[in-house]
Amino acid sequence: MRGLALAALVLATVPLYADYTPFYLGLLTEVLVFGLFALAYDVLLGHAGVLSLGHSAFVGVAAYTTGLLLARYRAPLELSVLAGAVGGLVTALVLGALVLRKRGVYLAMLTLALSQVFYYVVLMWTPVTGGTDGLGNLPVLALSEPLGWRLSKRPVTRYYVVAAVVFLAMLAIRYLLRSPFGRVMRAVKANETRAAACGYDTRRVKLVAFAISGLFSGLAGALLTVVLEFVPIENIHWQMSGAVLIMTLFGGTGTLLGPFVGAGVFIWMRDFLSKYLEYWEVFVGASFVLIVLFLPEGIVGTLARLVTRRRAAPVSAEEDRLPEPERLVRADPRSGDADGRLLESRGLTKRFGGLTAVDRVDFVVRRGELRSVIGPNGAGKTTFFNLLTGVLPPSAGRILWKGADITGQPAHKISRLGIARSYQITNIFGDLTVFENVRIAAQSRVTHYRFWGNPDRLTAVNERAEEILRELGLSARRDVRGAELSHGEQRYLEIGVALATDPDFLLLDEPTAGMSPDETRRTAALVRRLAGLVTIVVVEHDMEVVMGISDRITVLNYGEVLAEGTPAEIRENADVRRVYLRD
Amino acid sequence: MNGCILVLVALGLSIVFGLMGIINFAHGIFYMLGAYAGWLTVHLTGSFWLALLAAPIAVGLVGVLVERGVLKRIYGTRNANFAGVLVTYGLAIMIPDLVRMTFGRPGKPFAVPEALTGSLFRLGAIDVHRYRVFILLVTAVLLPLLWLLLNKTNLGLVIRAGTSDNLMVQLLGINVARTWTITYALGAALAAFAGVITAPLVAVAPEMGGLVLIECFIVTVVGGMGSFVGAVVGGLLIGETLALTGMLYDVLADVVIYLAMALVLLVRPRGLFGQEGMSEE
Amino acid sequence: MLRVEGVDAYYGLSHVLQGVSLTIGAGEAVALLGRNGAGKTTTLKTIMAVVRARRGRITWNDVDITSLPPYRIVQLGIGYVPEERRVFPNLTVYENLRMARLTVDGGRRMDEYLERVFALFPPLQQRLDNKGRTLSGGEQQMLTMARSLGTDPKLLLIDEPTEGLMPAFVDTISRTIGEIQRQGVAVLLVEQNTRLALESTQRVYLIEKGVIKHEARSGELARDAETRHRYLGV
Repeated sequence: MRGLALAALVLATVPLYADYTPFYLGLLTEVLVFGLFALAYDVLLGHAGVLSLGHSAFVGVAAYTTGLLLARYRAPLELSVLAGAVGGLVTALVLGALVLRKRGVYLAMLTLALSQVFYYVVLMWTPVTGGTDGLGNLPVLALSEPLGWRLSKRPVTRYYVVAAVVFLAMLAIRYLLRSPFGRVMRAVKANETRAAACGYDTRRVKLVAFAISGLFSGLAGALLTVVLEFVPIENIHWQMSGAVLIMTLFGGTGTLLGPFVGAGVFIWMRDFLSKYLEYWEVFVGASFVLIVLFLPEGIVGTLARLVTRRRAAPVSAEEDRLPEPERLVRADPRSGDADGRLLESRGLTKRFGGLTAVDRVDFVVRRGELRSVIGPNGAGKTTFFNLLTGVLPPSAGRILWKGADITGQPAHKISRLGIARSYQITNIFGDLTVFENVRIAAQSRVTHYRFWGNPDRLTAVNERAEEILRELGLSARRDVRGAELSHGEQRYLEIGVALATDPDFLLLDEPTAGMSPDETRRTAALVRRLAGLVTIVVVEHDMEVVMGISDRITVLNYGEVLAEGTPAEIRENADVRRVYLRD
Repeated sequence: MNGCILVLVALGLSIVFGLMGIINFAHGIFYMLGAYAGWLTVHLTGSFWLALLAAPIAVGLVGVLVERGVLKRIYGTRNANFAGVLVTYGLAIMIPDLVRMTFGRPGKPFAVPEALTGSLFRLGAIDVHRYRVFILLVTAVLLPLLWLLLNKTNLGLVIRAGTSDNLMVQLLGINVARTWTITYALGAALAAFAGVITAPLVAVAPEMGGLVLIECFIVTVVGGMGSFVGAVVGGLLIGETLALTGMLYDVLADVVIYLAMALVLLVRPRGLFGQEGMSEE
Repeated sequence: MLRVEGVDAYYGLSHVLQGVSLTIGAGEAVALLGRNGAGKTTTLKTIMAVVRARRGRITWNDVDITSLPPYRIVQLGIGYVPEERRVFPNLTVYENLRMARLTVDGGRRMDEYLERVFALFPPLQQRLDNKGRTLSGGEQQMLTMARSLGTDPKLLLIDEPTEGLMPAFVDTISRTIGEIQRQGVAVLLVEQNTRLALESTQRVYLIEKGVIKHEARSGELARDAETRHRYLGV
């Protein structure tokens, strides 16, 4: 809060003490506008984790919209700027809807190519846009009544108006980023598959991020038209997309100040360095390469990281007290159909080309059961799990949940039904704190798209997260980044994240993988205590664990069910022995 | 833009992507450098034919420098693919300015060599220029040679194996790092050759690289990343579409191919001839 | 002579190998047995440097290979037959085999090599021009073994060669191991088929949860049902 007040103060008083000429003030105004653009860009890059090379379309469409409304229709200034922002929003929605079918670098190249379509439209439509000459003929710009302040040829007034709008926009973005939705975006960036497994529709989340980014990029584009009183065609050229990327990386992603610093550095290079260094772009390009290679967090980002000294969390003494399962689990005790059947597969099959990984598996788990699934290598256990949790679509067969057919549902919908899973290879939100890992999972049961309010005020969600951490013995480590935990702690956090979604059904994939004998014992005890309160299916290789905790065991071999029964029955089963020992 | 040229440039991009998984923004730069190297050779020796030889070799060496000096540092890091795009983008900003420093801002004139000027024959209303036929012939010769390189040599074998399973190649005792350097340099040399051979037809300017890169990317998307046939078919398709629609309305041509690319990405993400599984990151 | 001493390996933070030690003498055939997830494949991958050894040392003929890259280790004479076979799907059988010879002699003496391959695996002769992806599971297994033998190793690490294949294939593998041993190549075999493993090797290590728990002569373990059940059974 204090930082913001300081920033507002600095902005408000700059014209007084800075040795300015209209030129410098105009430049500062431009820096503010580009800073806003970079901040809007960073919403998508630094917070949602999507690299776009097509933002020139958002800024460009907005700039031309505002310019056209002003030049041709003599529309009021405020309306024109607003229309520009909306233009950016709409363009972003259209582009986003098209490109979000893909990910990563491919998505980036798609945005680049599609944004070029807009460039060419502008280039061709000369009568309207002026083509390469740009759009000029703007009237004298002034605020509407009752203020009526003139902006054209009034650098000071223009500076204040633009600074005010940028500041307000920055506050709005800050507000959005700090809302519960902001947390969702960052979870998607930290680990998209896990976020989906918690119930978030990640594609839609990213589309909303696109929209926010487009709206404020559009606002920046509209303001740029106001500042330049002209719309050069360069505003919609792909170099603009490159420029904003450079600015954002120079300044540092994930910060509020970074984009403005980056914009300042870039514009300094463009306008001042270029005076001394005729070939200043070599400098820009070289700096960019060096930053990507050696300083990926940018200037501000790196400073921020260095300045925030992380308090070394005390290594907690091994807690011998076993967690109280009643506190960890909130499953519905009456779930299941009339027969008590909770999750069922009928003839479930998965083929990969010529290989049948899962072969007509019939599988029924009843409420309150603890079922282990075992089998030799290549038996299809993980594929089976992936089918049950909607990660892979089946080739044939059905999956039933509480009697209803859920075959082919995507991961996030399965999660919302009450099915949760933990992973064999730890799949937590590495960049989020321990607390946030569990909190964001818990939040998925309450709200996905809340753009207002403070997530720390969602009391029910926070209490739930605290409760889970306490029972798992991770409270002392709540502020540590997930990636920095010990292996055993991460495996517990794995389970914690799954439990935080209040599942009726829990699938645990090799929970004791890579654990010491001691940790294995404690984990097995935990799982045993959870059983009876939530229905559990476990894949495990540790036979002692399996025999010790299971109510029933299913043995898979070559994708088929070989046997099923109690631990004693399985031990005696001749087929199972043969398959395991191949004596 | 002539379809044949696009094929050559796209092949370079596609091979690099197929093996190394990097979308090389600097590819357009190599094209531009090829044109300049060609101009310089002609300027110094007066021989167009020497230029055709010297340009790819010189730019190939530049490719080696880039791969060893810059790209090597990002292999195996987190987000290596992104870093690859960003870093090569940075180079794509730097190098044109270096070229301006050395050769000046305005473009360089590059005349069609004496032997190849003028029209070969008339086909109805269309004038078939000798130089364009020359380009066609050169491409027709070069393509089979490239195909032979990829399919009949040990180097080509390693590249093709590496495209599907890099680790296994190493587990057979082969030092992949060297292959990557050679492949990258080969891609650069191909782009450079395309650049020098196009030089008489287009403006030799530092900005040449930008446009061809995007068109090249579109070709590889439509044809399929990492596919030889895809680059050829895609290059010809896109190149001829550009030429034909360009005759109708200059700028419309570009829009058409962008839309074609968007369509392919939505309907058949791996492209006409691409291998499955390459369309994600 | 391979010496693995006190090696620790991790998948991320998962401590999958804990102080693993074993030795393989020249020309010896040794089996590494254990249940799923015990660390058998990880041990092989760590020797090949596909997984990095965090602690401990691996020496091969007194040369420290712990920090060498995989391609160097292969060049020094250790071959690897991976569990997933990893046949190059887009290359023909011939091309797959040729890949193995590139560092040995650049593919100059392919005919000689092919003769040896066909002697061991006759069915490959008919499939020489077929692409890798069209081969059956058994053919792919033959191909990957022939290929790894092509690097002229002195020690061959074989990971689960019979997995997912018909019982008849077991004999082929048994014969093959015998044959390569006759040619003086040492073998480290990871197998779930206990009978095959104990019949084709002289010594055996039993591994459980990343720790070597037991070492014996293969003949001994074949007669020791109790130990077998303890570490391998259900």
